[in-house]
Amino acid sequence: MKSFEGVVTLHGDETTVSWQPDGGGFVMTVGGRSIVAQGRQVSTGTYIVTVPGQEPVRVVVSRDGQQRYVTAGGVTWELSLRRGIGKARPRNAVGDRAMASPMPGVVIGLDVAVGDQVKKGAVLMRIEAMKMEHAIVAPRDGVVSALHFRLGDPVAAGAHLVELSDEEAAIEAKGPSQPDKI
Amino acid sequence: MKTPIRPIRKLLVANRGEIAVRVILACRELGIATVAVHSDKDQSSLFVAMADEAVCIGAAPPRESYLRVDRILDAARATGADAIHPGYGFLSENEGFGRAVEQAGVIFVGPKPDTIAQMGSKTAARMTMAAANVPTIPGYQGDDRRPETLREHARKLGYPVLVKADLGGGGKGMRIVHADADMPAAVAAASREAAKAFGDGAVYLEKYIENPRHIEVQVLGDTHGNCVHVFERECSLQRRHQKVIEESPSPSLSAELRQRICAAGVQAARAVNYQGAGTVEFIVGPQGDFYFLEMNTRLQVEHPITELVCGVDLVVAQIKVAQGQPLPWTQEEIFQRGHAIECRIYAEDPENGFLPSVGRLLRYDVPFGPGIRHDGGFQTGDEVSVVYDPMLGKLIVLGETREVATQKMIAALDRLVVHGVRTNIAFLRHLLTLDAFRSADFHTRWLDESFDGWCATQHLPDFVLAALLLDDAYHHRDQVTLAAGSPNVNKAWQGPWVSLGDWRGTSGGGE
Repeated sequence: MKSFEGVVTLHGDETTVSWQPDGGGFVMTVGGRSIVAQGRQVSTGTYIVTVPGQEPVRVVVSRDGQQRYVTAGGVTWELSLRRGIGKARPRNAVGDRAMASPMPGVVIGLDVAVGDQVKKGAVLMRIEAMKMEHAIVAPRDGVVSALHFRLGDPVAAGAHLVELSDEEAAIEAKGPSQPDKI
Repeated sequence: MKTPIRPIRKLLVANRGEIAVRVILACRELGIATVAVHSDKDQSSLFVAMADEAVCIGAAPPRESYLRVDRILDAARATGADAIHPGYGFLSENEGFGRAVEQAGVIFVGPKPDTIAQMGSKTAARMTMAAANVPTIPGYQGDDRRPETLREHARKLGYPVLVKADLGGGGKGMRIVHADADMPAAVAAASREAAKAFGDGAVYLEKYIENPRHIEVQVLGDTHGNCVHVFERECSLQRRHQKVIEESPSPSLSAELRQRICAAGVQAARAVNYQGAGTVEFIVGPQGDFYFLEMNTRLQVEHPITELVCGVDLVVAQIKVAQGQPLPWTQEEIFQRGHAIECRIYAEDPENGFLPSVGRLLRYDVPFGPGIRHDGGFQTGDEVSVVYDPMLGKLIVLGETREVATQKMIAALDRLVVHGVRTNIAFLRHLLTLDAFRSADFHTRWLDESFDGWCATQHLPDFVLAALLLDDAYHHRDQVTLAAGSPNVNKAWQGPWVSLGDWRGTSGGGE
């Protein structure tokens, strides 16, 4: 039986998935779980998908290169699908979401301290989960204003890890509370 | 004074996007030919394709095209248009444009330029309305601006009070004062801020309405002295002063208050001898006290909810009034039936601070069905750019009750699929499911205060992943079939996996 592998990226979080045909449907394996899925195409890009324990869902998919838009129930996920498991290209930092933990895991490296000046792209922290290491990189130049976890701390998916402030913003933030004292 | 009937044969739409489409549709019903004017960026837009004639009037930035009065008038002359509809935004509330159009011997579909001027200045408009006994926000703007005097007047108004700069804007030089003791410091701070920002430290007072609602009354006047209201719209769901969801009737008005506020709308319109379609905006306090805010002398973005709930066509009515015809209906013939809701579909990212999102539309599927209307200006393949308004379109539904309309809107949003840019569709859907919406317990600042960090797509559900892989399989099956040159019909219903072959080898994974 032929099986396939690929990497799905959502909000910068990469998930490795493998899948193989199984009868009329397919089995996908993700994060150590195997899920039997069924589906049929009802028109171009529109599918009725069934996964265990759920009613069938109508899903619309568009593609643009590796980019995917997947809509179901009014919600659209913007993802990418890269077939094969090669080296990922360095991902672009996108705002502060880049400084949230992409997955539940453990802090295995602190590369900066509060007060450090960092350049865009600098590694701030490293998280490990499922034997995969993820680097949390600075989405922009700035000053580390807070580290919310210590070495060895467990972190939840989506947990905000690092605060980065640019100096101008820090000064501006102090502004409004003071003018009455001038 | 009666004006003779001046039939319009060809109408130029001095606007773009969904409102240009809306006006063109009305003209088609009336047998009026249409002219679109557009920037070079809008060359292949829906509204340009729909118009009978199209004239390019310049480059993408509005000041080089949609705001060029001279070029728009040239286009009118060149095409022989005898009327111009300004839509909303751009030149719609520019008295100079109205005058230039009239001087060119072309009909301006809108109020008299004098009326636009009269309502254009907020302070002057409020004075006009106060003189006409339309309630306005109490305040103090007298000559004596000494701090002690301001404090005295603040006590008379009753706290909370808003301290505002005479030349203010954008919240600069503005302070909300809740207690008498804070008054001197607030006045000093606001004045300092105003002096720094506008070169003038003068500040005045206004009663501050806490948790206000935004209710507006649709009015329509003709050249025969008739003036009616077409009831109200509730527009309290705003984000940074941009309306997000509107509905009609307002769930927060009693029948008695509705009558009074609509009557005040007509009173306001009559005070300026209003001709055409206009909107009188009120803010309504928690006790049902209401105050004139401003008058919009044009068609509103949210006009469709009024059209659905009252069964009228406001754009057709505008054009008839502009031709010198009397209003199509009397006040007694207008009533509200059912409940209408409008959701504005914006190209913005609610999960990322509502930043505007741009790109090419890979897909734009519009829902249809009983009681569902979509006013839009985009279609699949169009580019959404930063140059123009981020609104892609408007989804409007009509149901027997507010609850029915809400359910209908949720179901309609589920079928509105926009791919290629990020949109607020999931956010709108989320709002409609909240208790605060269901019980209509909200105010104009609710959205600004409550939705920081909202995210709908944090996790990757199994069905999303399954759809992703299924789509990939179908895509490659099609490619393999095409490559083999022998499309096999039977394989289609067997699912994508049967005919896959070694697609990894064929396409190498590099897209």
